[in-house]
Amino acid sequence: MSDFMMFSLVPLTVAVIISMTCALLGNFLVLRRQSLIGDAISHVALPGIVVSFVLTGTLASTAMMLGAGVSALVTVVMIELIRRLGRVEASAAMGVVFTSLFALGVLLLEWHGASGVHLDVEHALYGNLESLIWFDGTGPAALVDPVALADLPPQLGRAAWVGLLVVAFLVVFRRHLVLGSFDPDFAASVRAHPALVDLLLVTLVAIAAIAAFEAVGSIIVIAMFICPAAAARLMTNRLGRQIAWSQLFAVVSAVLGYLLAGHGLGWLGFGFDVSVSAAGMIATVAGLILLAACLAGPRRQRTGAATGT
Amino acid sequence: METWWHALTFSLGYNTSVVTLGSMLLAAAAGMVGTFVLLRKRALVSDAISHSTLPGLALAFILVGLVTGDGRLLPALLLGAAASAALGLWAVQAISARTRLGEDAAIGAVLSTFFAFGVVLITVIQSMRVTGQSGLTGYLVGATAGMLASEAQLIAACALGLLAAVLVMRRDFLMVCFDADFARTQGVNTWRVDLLLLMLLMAVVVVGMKVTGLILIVALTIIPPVAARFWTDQPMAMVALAALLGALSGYLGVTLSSVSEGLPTGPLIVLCAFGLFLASFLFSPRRGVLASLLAYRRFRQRVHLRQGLLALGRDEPIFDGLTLSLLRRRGYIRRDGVATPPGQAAARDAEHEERLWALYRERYPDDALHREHAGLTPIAQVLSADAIMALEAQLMGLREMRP
Amino acid sequence: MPDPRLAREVIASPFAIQGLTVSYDHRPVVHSVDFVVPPGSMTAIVGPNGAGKSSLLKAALGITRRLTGEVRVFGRPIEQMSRHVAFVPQRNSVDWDFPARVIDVVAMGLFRDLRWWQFSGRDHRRRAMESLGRVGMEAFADRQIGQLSGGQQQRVFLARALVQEADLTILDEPFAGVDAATETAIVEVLKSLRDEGRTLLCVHHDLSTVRDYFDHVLLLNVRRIAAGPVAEVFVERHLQATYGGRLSPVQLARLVGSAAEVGGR
Repeated sequence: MSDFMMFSLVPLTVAVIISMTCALLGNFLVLRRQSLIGDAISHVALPGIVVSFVLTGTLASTAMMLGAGVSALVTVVMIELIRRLGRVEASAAMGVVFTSLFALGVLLLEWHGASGVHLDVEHALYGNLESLIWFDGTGPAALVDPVALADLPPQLGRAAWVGLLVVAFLVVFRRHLVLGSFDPDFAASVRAHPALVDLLLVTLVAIAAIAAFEAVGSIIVIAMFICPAAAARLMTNRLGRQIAWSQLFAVVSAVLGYLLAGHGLGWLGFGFDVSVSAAGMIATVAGLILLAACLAGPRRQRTGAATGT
Repeated sequence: METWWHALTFSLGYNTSVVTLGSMLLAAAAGMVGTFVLLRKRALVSDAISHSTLPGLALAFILVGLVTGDGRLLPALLLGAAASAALGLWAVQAISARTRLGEDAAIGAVLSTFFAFGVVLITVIQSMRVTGQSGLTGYLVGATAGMLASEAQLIAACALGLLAAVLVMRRDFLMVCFDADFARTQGVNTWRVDLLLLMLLMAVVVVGMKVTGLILIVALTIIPPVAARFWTDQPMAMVALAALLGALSGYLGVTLSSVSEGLPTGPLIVLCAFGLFLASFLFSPRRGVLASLLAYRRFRQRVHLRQGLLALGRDEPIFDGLTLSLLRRRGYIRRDGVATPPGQAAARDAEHEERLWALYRERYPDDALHREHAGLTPIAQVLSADAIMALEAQLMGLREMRP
Repeated sequence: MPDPRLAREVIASPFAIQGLTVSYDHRPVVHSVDFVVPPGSMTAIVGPNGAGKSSLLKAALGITRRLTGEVRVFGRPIEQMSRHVAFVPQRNSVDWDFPARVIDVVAMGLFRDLRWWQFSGRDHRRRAMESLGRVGMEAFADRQIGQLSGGQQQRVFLARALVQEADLTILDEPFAGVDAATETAIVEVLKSLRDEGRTLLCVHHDLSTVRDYFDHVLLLNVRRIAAGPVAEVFVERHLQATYGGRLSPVQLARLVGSAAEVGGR
């Protein structure tokens, strides 16, 4: 029990919170056919963090978050500029920007790699969920012990804050979001500011991606933006229910993925007890859920006269 | 600096030269295939392909490693990568064709899930006793530094083959990219051509993985074509230009990476490509941003000025700030908005011009439809002096008829 | 207060466009169009494909950028008066596979009436149902929008505009790809709106029905070719100028012939 408290409680909670947060936003990304903006933004968190490290010389969380945030905004602005001014198709503009920025990040990282800092590409991609150890979490009593609680890894608090921020955003702007996703022209005609809401959504995606990135790496972020929401899309024709499904899928992926990563190979009879990347396993489970939904989801087909007369 | 010069002139030894040539060929092939994929509006499919190579790569590494003790066997790794990339590609196609999900969601889902599973497998590898594990990291961000001559030769040969294949297929690709429906009526099996295009894309990705790394190879299929688009509207010229820009970035990138030990090749190639893109984006005289902004400003001023003059002529109030300041700057109105004598003359000219254009449109509606800008360009620049004289005469006649 | 320098008909009009230019690629798709929609009229915007009809509307409504020009609603800039305007976009401009029911789409018309902390109440549902009733769709309220036919989709869009209770309703191709029954039903609803004193402005592509449905018309081909009451403006000379010889003599004769018929009645 105390092992669980110390080694698993925090990573599991962080994984669940982040998965749910990303899945919430993912619903709108999938509906707007902008899923890949999540992909692009999670790639550019790396250059942001590296640049902030090069500039400040520390790996302090605030500087890293700030760097990643700035790079996400830079990405969005660059994509829009290239798309509008250069009249380049959106996905191509995205491809140009995020690959170039990612390349910049890798280059800077290798350049400064000699200084022996613990920051590498793999870490950025896979995250290190397993390192979120709560040393004071020695037993259930620690849950009410303020001293022990103060020792909780800071990633937990940050993930919670970002989760709350996302929920607040969705509650306040729910009508704007739905209107802008379904019919942007009409939304503009009733002054629902679809372009502004679009930008806010992308900003929140960036914030969520950064908070997640630090704890779980960018792969799980992309998977959680897309897979639970996409799977939920195949379950129902009602937006509210779709969001509920996406939350359920996110929780199941996080918990199941985490458990499988720690013990899965042992259960599968590998004989030797190795633990594999928890972030990778969580994303894999999310993908498997989507696979199941694609094969058997009750609403997996497009409905009726979608485009025809 | 001197090393770079040696690298640029291919005098840094056989190995480096083969690597440089191989990378250039590869980047050229990527640019060509990428152009067709871009024209087909599926630029990010290559992202899904490249990420989904990882599990195959890792599985091949595990299998080879279990047998021989060292997982680094390039042909086996490439085969594994190709197999899982094909599976990923199929998954993207199946999801976007058979479910309600769009291609964007399909791409995102496939790339993240496959890559995540690859990461899981890599952590499995890390717990195995197999040598050459660090070699696998090279596939993430690319490494040509320690490349064996045989590996470089294999890559160069594959790239050459791909280049030839694209050249052979270019007409079919173009037809399908340009207008798939029309191609179908011409008896082209678009489904097969599409499949072939994606197969070539996959081959480029798999072969290029070792050079740029699997996350960045997608850049070589997107950035050069997008940059080429700024210089030409002709598809074939775009293909050629994309190949050229790709090869140039490969050349610059690989040679730069030989300057200092440990500089990763992939990012350098991609950043060189991005530099070429940026130059095209800003300075291309056809679609570049600077040219466009200037043209837009000029056009907007012309429209404002014309509308302002017409309003002056009709004695209507003008509210628009830009119109007012343009008129003022040219001395057509005073500070208080009243027209000056030159302003009145200009307004009369503008009105006359409008009337000539209107008459022209009425008399020759078909011709008028084919002239862009009709009405904003001074009529003397568009029609011959004789034609204008004739219009003037007709205008006079009309005026006499309707006193 | 509207600017006193404005013409009287501009102040009276629910939609007055002045000097509107819209450009794409440094080419005007709509050039310097002046047009004042008469209050209480049912006006059609007519012109060939690519004449800039939809571009004109979208730019006038502030959905896309305009290069020059002002749009006034009762003499004031439309930006302040958008509450008075309801817009019905083209039916195929949205994804009908969106997870929503018919009633949800109609309720989108209530966007302005609800703050973020409010939930739509019984009164809002009643208003939405009333609008659905006017277009004959109340039985479909809980239907998934993907299951509707093209005509039913168009009716739902119209119902969403009805909920807005605006003085001016602007419709972009409301009869494109709908069945005959829906076309009749929509025309009935539009006429009833006009009888309530509201104004209708429609992009319309079917020249043969212009005379039956509308009382005013704007002939547009990048520029304003002619505008005014249908009986005066919808004549061979203007149609030729608008369509630039793209109408066959037979078509023209039929259109003008129907004019003679109407005139003779």
